[in-house]
Amino acid sequence: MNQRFFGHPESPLFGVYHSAHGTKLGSPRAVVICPPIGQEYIRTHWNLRLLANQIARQGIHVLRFDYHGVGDSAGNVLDLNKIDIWQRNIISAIEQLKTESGAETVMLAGQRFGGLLAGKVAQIRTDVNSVVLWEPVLDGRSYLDDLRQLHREMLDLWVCKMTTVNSDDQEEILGAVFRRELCKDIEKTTLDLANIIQPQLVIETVDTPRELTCCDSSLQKVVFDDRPSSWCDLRELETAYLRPMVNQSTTKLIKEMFERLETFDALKLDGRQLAALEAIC
Amino acid sequence: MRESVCKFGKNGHLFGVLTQPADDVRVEGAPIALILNAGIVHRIGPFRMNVDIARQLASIGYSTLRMDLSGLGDSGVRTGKMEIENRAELDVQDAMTHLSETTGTNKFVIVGLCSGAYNAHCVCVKDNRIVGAVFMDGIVFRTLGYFLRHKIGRLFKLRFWRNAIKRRRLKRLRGTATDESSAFAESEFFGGDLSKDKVIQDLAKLMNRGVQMLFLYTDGYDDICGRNQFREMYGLRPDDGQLQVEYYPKSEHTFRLTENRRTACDRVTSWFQTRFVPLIDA
Repeated sequence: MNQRFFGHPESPLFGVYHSAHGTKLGSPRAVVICPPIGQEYIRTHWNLRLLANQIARQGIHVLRFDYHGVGDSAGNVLDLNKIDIWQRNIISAIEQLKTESGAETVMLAGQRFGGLLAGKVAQIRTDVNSVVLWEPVLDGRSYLDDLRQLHREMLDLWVCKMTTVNSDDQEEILGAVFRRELCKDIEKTTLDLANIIQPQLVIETVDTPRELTCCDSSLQKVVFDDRPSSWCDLRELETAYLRPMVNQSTTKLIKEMFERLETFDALKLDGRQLAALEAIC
Repeated sequence: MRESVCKFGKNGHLFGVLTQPADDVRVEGAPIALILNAGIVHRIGPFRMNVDIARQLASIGYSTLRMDLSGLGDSGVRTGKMEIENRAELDVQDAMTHLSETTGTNKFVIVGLCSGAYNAHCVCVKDNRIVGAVFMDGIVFRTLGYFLRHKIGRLFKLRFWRNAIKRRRLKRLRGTATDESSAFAESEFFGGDLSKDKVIQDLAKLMNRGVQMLFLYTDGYDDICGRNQFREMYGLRPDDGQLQVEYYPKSEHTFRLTENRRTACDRVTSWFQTRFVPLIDA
């Protein structure tokens, strides 16, 4: 593991690079892990570290990182008006990993809100070869409403009568204060999996089945976690989210996805993709 | 303010983030704060509290290292046959040695919440380089006053019964989920072998050594009820000097609400500002 700050020096992002085991620096396989935000980020930190280690052991480079205002990265969530800064953070992480690993393209693996952000970035970047979406948030409004409900439940069971003071421009949700503009931006954001043209692996829970769209059913694989979803359970608010079995099977599937991508020569950018990428940059 | 990665320990297996103040506000010769993990939460702390403390301290001139003990967060594991509490002590000692070598500072203030406070206590007693400590919801012992005020007193509160019924209903609706993990966390992170007499002896030792201490307790901790319990436990009278004790009746154990967190951060910051500059000058 190699921890570092990267990105703009005025607002650095914190990242942990797990170099691919058993391969030279030039391995073409690389994964950027896009974590959830808020309390879900803290709950999943250890599990994502374990996942990153397991993926790296398969000869794949991995970069975990924290978004602006989250974890060890600079700033505060209160600085933000829109989620596009988090999408730009993912792009910085992609560039960082490509530089460190020598890979031309990367896979994005996002969990919860990180899944939504990863899906959005995959739609605009030709250097994203595939995505893994772990219980991704598909609708920003229902996601925030769930968090708000949990926040109300928490206050309701407080030792004394308790409220959090919200103003016209700020709202406190589960220990973090958001600007109203950011809340509005999250609420209007949705992720339609049919708009992602890259191969996608989706991890869902058995107890909360959802209708998932896709642009090509042969490019989408959905697997299920047997354990119930715990994101909306107040008693799990500060419990570490540990899924060793899911990590194991996901690592295996990621390795298989890379093998297929290599078969189709999809880990390299062709001239058209390169031009499209340069145009965006 | 500047933040940088800090690797230390044998083979650099330990990791932390060093937050340093801008040169124009830096307090020369001030001790460096070391923030320890609370339970298994990585170095940023519950609800990112450790980041808030570190950055707030940096804004008034103090450096902070928020570190992951071995096997937690992004630190590697420490191999060997040491007991858990020894492992934490060794990790903190490694951090202090590294910071002494790289910054020239040989004075430290240790900050810990819950199991972090327990670890902080153990290290503090053994290492003379520690000149101050902030124990948040640290070691407590139930007293007669506690049973009267808390265990019996709450039976007369409507909210206690209301919450108990609501929690039971919630449990019936969603099943049990947390019992196993709570038991694990407790047995894993508290040695439980510190007797009250031993802690009293330790505190006397720290008082004699001139260690500045700030104890913060919350209502959410459930094993303490009111500031008076500190005196009942240890026979020490808190003051505004070397031994300061604060009790937050509306706060959860992990400072879930922004307002609670801000209050605690402000208290730690102001304590730092008042306790260390005069000492250094002296």
